[in-house]
Amino acid sequence: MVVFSGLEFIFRFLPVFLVLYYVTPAEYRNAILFLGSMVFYAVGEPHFIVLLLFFTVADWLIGRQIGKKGRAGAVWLFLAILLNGGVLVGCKIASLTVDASLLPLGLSFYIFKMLSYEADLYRGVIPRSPAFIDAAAYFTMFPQVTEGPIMRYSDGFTDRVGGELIPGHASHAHRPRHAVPADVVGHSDIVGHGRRVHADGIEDGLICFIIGLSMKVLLADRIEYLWNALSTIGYASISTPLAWMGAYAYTFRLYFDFWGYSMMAAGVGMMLGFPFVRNFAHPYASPNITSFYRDWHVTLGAWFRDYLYIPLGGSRGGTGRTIFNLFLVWLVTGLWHGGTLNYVIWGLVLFALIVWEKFAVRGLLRRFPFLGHLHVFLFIPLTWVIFAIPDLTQLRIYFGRLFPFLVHARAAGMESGDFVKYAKLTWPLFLASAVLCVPAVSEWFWKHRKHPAMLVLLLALFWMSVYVSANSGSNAFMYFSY
Amino acid sequence: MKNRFRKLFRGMRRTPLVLLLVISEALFVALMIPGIGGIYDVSDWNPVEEPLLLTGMERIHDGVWPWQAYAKETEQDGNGEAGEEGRNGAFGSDGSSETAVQQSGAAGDSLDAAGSGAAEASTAEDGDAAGAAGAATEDGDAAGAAGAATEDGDAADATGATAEDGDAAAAALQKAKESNPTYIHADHMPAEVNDKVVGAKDYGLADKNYLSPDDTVYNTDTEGIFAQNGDYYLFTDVDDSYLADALIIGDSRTEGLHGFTSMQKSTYFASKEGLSVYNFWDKGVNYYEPGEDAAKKSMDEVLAGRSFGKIYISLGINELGIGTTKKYYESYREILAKIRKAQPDALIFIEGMMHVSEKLSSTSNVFSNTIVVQRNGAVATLANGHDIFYIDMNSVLCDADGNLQADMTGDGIHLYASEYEKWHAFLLTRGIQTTAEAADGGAADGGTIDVSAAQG
Repeated sequence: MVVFSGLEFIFRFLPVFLVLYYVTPAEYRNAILFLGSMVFYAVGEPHFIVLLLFFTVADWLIGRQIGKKGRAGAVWLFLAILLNGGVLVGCKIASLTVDASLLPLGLSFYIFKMLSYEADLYRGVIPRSPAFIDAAAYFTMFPQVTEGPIMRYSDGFTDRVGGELIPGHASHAHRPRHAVPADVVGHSDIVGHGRRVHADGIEDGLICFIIGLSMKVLLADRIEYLWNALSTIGYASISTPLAWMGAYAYTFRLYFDFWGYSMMAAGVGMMLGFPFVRNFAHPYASPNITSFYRDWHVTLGAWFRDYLYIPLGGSRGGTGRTIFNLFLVWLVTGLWHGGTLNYVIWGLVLFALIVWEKFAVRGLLRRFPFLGHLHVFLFIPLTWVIFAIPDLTQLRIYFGRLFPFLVHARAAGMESGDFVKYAKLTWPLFLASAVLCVPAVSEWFWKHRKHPAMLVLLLALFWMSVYVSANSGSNAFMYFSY
Repeated sequence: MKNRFRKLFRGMRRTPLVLLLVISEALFVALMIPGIGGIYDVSDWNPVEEPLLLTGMERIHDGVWPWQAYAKETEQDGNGEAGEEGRNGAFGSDGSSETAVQQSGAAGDSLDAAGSGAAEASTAEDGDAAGAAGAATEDGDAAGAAGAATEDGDAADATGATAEDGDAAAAALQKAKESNPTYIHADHMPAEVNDKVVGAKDYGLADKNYLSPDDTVYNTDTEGIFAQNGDYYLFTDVDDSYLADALIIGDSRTEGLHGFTSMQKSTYFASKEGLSVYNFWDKGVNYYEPGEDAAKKSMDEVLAGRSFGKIYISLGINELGIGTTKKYYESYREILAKIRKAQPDALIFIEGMMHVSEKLSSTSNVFSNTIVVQRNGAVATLANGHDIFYIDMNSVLCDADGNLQADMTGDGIHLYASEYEKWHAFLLTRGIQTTAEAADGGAADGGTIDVSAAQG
């Protein structure tokens, strides 16, 4: 049920929760949100819910101390970092060395929300420490607890409903350019606004949810088939063209899975009255890798920038210092995604690429912008391959198939013309993926979303997604098909 | 209150998609309700676990649309669950004798052909089958009384028609058999005729819902369907030409055997989409003639299309998490009987399910070698050493704990492309050369003699 594309969530949890939420008077909605989130989380993770509750209480208590604005604030913040960071690192290590089940569901995400909460209290971005139920609802809210986005407290929580309106603040600079399509949330896209449930928000939230659902179920899950097929065949037995197809298949699979998931999360958030949280801003249209990561998993990148890179001094400390700060940020980014060596390599390769772009070829990229786009199209899929394959021996074999002249890794059992066979099966998915990477397409779509033909299309997409879910492995009631 | 409702209605005008969604869901469910008990099976149905909407969606996937509940209810019954029950019914105590009659009838036909002098190896095998049927009836206790009587009559007629064809041929056949190094004559099936079921380490995780108690008896009612005549053959090495008249049936693992090996002379019926013993007869599946592209065919079409010398069956992995071993066994048995009926001359090879990797077996309560081994053990009892054989490739693919070797698989279930040749090579060590198939020409007469031998 903890997967938004799961039918139990769509047809049971969500409608029931929404009705309860809407009939509850505004001042009690955070309590309902907290309770609903507990139910949601307990279904997916009946044991580690204790840990989530512990952190909820502990971080709220520490936040109260930080909120007092005394001299001890820094000490309390340090304690918060130590506690949250320590358990996060500890669980990651335990999940790698002892058992994978020791990494609680969504830990990386809710810990980051808690840390941002403490830091924002310390810096006064959150002006005074909130009531327990507000903080608890923020930490645990079900649309974000498993896979983000890492929303800030001030996005929909800052002013207590019925309380004094808190004006916007600087932290919202973390939103990327054109982060919120002008009309996504209608008139309510005011920074620091209070949370308000309204018809437009519900309708737009549902539209976001359906778009996200169909991207995940109809695109990502299906193109994943190709990627999985390669590991089943064994990387040593795939042709070089198929290896490249696989790299792009994984690239699209990851993008539409995560973007789709973020859209669903943002959609549910909007139905609850929160502002749209944009986690992806057309990264594949970026002119270089630096800005790719400004537009990819926006809330995580912004977190690292606001709470790590800038506190370290950012790019203001000279070239050497900047490079060191980037190194640190990308090392931690790699480790955050997973503790195995391939994630570290992934982070460091990106660090190298970004340094290369920033300092070596900066002028060249400026003169010939297509070179920067080429960087994105060529290097990003290769970095995803590193991201995707934890076993370094297997990774080496895969790169041997991508670049057969570098490493000889060919084994028996290769089907001649294998890529033709898979291209015939998957070309519509590749085509749709490529089209959806063009920003103008989704902007056009969003602009015309209220058109009757669009309504029919969205309805069809919804039922197609449900149909596919009902007949696939993600349907909890059925078994996988081999 | 009135104001709130007014506000609600005004809000609803601005949420057309929400409204459409709710209405369409209600319509779908309303459309499906009349199908309950008809096109939607409601035996052991739990709406909490399997909502109607989901059942409906799954049935659409099988090609059954909700509105079919309204049109021609009787026709639906024929094709739907009732039909399935019919198939099950064929294996009650009456059913087994029914099948036996059918089989001996078919054998009788081929005996006539043999009597009129058609001298083909396949006809000779018919003769063997007929002999087998006769023998079973003679031993006869296991077969239902009514069935035995009918069969006796049939067999007697057949023998009467052909027995006078001479002792010389009988002697020739016996000689040919004795010169076949894999031939054994025995009253009971010798232990070495079929492969032993390869065991595996039990990690104690297997879900009990998918197992049957250890003392479950599987082979009690196989007598009478698969008959015995005293002739057995041991496995022997063969080459690819042996597989030229073979039909290779299986799930995605078998699809890999087709895709990644040099075993290209055989015909394949192999699905990547979850072929199991439960959907075996319902699914359109990739059918590959040697050297040709896939065509979608159902099993019925394939069996009616041409006759095969050998039929290999590899199923089971998709239904590890469905039903008990006993249920699996029963469906498997039903499949064998139906194939046997359609292809009376074929040697059938039950391929024991390939085990899964340690990584999977030691963490999953479904993909567990404990379940795999129990199920292999159950279907192995269906082998009779005459025309149905159990072969177990795990002896060449697994480690000492009975787990599929880790460096042979990416997902723990399928072999790497580069490893499939091992499966192919294994099959080539498990050929059965019946004397009839080995000998040319005169063997057909031998078939008829065989029957009289069984009579005497």
